[in-house]
Amino acid sequence: MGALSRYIISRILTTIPMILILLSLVFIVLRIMPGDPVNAILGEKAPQEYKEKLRKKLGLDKPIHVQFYEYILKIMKGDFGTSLLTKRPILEELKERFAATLELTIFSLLIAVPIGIFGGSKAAYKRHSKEDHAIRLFAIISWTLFIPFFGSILQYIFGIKLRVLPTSGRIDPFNVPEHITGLYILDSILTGNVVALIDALRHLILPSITLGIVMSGALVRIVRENMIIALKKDYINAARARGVTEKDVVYNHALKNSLIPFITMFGLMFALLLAGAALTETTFSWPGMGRYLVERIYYRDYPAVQGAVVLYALIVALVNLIVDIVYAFIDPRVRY
Amino acid sequence: MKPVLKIRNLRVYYRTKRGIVKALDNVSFDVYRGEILGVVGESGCGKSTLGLTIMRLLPPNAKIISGQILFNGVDLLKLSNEEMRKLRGSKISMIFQDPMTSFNPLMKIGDHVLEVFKYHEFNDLEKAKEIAVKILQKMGLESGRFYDYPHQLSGGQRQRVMIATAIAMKPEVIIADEPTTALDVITQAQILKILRELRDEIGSSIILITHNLGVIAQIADRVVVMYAGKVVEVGNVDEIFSDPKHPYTQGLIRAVPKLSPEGGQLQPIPGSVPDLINPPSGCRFHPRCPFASEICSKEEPPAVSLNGRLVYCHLYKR
Amino acid sequence: MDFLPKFSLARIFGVTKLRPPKEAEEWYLLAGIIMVIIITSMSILAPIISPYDPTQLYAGPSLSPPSPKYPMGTNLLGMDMLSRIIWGGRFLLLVSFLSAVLSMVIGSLAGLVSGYFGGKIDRVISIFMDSIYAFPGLILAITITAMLGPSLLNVVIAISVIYVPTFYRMVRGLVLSIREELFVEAAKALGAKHRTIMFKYILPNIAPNIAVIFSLCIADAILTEAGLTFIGLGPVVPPTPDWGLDLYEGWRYLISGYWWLILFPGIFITLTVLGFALIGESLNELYNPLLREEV
Repeated sequence: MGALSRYIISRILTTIPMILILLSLVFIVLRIMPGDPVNAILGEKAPQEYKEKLRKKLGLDKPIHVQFYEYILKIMKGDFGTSLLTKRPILEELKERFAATLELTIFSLLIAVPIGIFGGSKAAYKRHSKEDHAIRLFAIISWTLFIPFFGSILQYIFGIKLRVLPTSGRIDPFNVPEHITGLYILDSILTGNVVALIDALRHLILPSITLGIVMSGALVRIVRENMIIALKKDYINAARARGVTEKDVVYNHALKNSLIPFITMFGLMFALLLAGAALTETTFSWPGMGRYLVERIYYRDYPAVQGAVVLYALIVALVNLIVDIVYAFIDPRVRY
Repeated sequence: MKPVLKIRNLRVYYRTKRGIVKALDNVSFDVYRGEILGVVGESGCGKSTLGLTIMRLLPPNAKIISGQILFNGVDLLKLSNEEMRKLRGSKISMIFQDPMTSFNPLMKIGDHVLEVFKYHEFNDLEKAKEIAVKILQKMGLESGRFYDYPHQLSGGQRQRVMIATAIAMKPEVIIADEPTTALDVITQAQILKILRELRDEIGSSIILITHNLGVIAQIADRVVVMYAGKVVEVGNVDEIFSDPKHPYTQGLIRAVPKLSPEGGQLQPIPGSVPDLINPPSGCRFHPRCPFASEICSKEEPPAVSLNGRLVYCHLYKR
Repeated sequence: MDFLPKFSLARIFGVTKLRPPKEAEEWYLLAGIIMVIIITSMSILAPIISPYDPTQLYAGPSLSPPSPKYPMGTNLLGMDMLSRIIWGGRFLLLVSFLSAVLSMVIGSLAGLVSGYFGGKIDRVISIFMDSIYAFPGLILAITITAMLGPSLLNVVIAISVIYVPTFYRMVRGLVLSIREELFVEAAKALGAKHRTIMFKYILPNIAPNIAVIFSLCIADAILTEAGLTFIGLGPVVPPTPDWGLDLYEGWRYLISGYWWLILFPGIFITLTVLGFALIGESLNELYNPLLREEV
């Protein structure tokens, strides 16, 4: 197992520069704004002493490399600063929003992944057939759908015309379940709160269908492409020559092998998912990280904006690391 | 000797963007029990298509237009997919050309061999494993190798595993498609030796598909010479090498570089392999044949039987 | 592979004569091209074909549903939606096209250099690109636009940053595999300069793949730009006619039942993206060597 541990360690070591680069990029981007951030927050005409106070508070009076150093240090300690708008610790606010985004992404994946894998493999196996064209048409239309447009259609049909589902928010404020994880579905199950469970699910349906279907288009495309490549390999025919049934050839041989490139792409998929979630959250007023980012930009709450983007960077780096490690467990060529 | 496989009037075409490729056109020959039959020809002559057709493992754009493949009297081309699947690996098996790509990288090599048993209703897994290990040992691989992944083995070792999977259930016919082309000469000799020993021990017939005349000379009993999708000559290996009848066969044998002291120039066959979408009329070899006459471009040559030899050439018509 | 092709677009794709589509992929390609041409023409010819001035207040009654006089209805300020739709694609197409070109140029150059020279340059650029590639695109665009200020140039820059790594990775991967081919070695043996090898030998061979990514990139850029507009960070402000802006307005008024305000901008955005996506996907099926079926 020496090769495996070595691989994991090398992946962790590569992730650290990646995180540093991302954090530096965030630092740079958030300071390239032309003009003085303090002016932007307080307005040009504010009294000088208020400006000095804010400048000191934001740490903007120190030289740039000191600012950077303190920034990194604080992040490592988990101090994301305080919101200028709400005066609350940003990390606290982000924790709540993160749970909301997580719930949305999990349920969207529950929809997107089965469609992606079954649709993609069927289309690849029956390439050039009517099913293949139909599945590809579905996939291409799905990923080209503009999320706010698709979400609005669903909102209009189910929320406004038929009035069966809510069109915004995560839950009725009276029904919020007891806080254990922050994931309402999980929390309501754990506390046996049926009312909360149903309400949370009702709010979750439309947003996850919206994001799920759009993601499924991209997934079908990726799975199909990788399966076509896998099915062309020589070992597929060699398996048939040993008497393996078609079903097992597709699932045990082709699919398993195409899941490897699929897993390596999962990091990218996750990034697409987070981006799509931001639009979905805006459309459905879902209180997640994406909406938090947009809101705080509007209110010029720059520490909060920085905090949110930093969190995105950390999540992405972590997911990529996990994906790399999972990949190492699956592909024997890495282990031995 | 009874034929275990009778191929009659086989026609296989491929649909491609540029047109219909007539890969096999009216191919007929027999395979006898316990013999090593070489199928030799240049690239593109249809020999690989032949192997895949017998196994019914052709790609989706290929179509078997007509013909029969009689295996112990049963026409393989008329069997259902499931019936054919049951034969694959157990009664008729195949050794593939490239050992580097013919294995599932995620599956241990021992599991590759076990698959043959698994899919042919051999339910005793313990026994199957025993047999598998024994076969691998016979191929010269230590028992520990059973648990290795394909990338941990060399090309020659992988080819031996390939042979092991092909013989696991003692099939009656083994199709070896260029089994040594991807290997170095020394390993090549070892593999050929294994194949010959197999035939002696198990009594399987081996269809050895190759473009390498040297390989044919080493272990084949009879040989089928193919050109541009057609059979041109069939006969005993020694006889064909000493007295080739068909002009193409003559050209092939003459083209093999000889290590004689006088040296001399290489003698390739002039011209190039024809386009199988629009093959030449009449005898497909006539544009390159030094003995071609008018009838060769008009009529396809008939099969002429000459003392156990079969030649498809107008020269030998009575 | 014809390794000394002339630099013509058709030649790069191996198209030697014009003929009607033979297989399904070619129909998809044709459909995509037609859709793109129609929508682009509509945007270019807007001043001529638009029935009303799209910013004309009260050209019709406020918030009226589609009718013979106003086939796509009117918005809150009585502006004719059909005219707004005809004019509305301009910024979207312009921004996406510019971003895609910028990404393509920077990403492909970086990929060529990285893949060809390898070594330290490759490692440094790669880790940089990988970091951006892993980050959610829209979030990056939102942040950059928010910090730079939402002007046309800034939005173009923000969006192109997202796609540079996509071009980079693909070009670099292809260059790495082509680098080993014999004709490159032959060129080196003949004493060709690095610049010549990269641009005259390697580049033409990867041009079809770059074209595939380019199409898909425009498609995605349109969605990103519309997304930015929806969030309020777009390069256009009311009353400029813009599908993104009108879609946002439509969304806000959806609850009151004014469905036509959002339907038409949404359809047109989707159709435009679909057109470019069809082009990219069908080109991929036709020219990606990994997917092609030979014999």
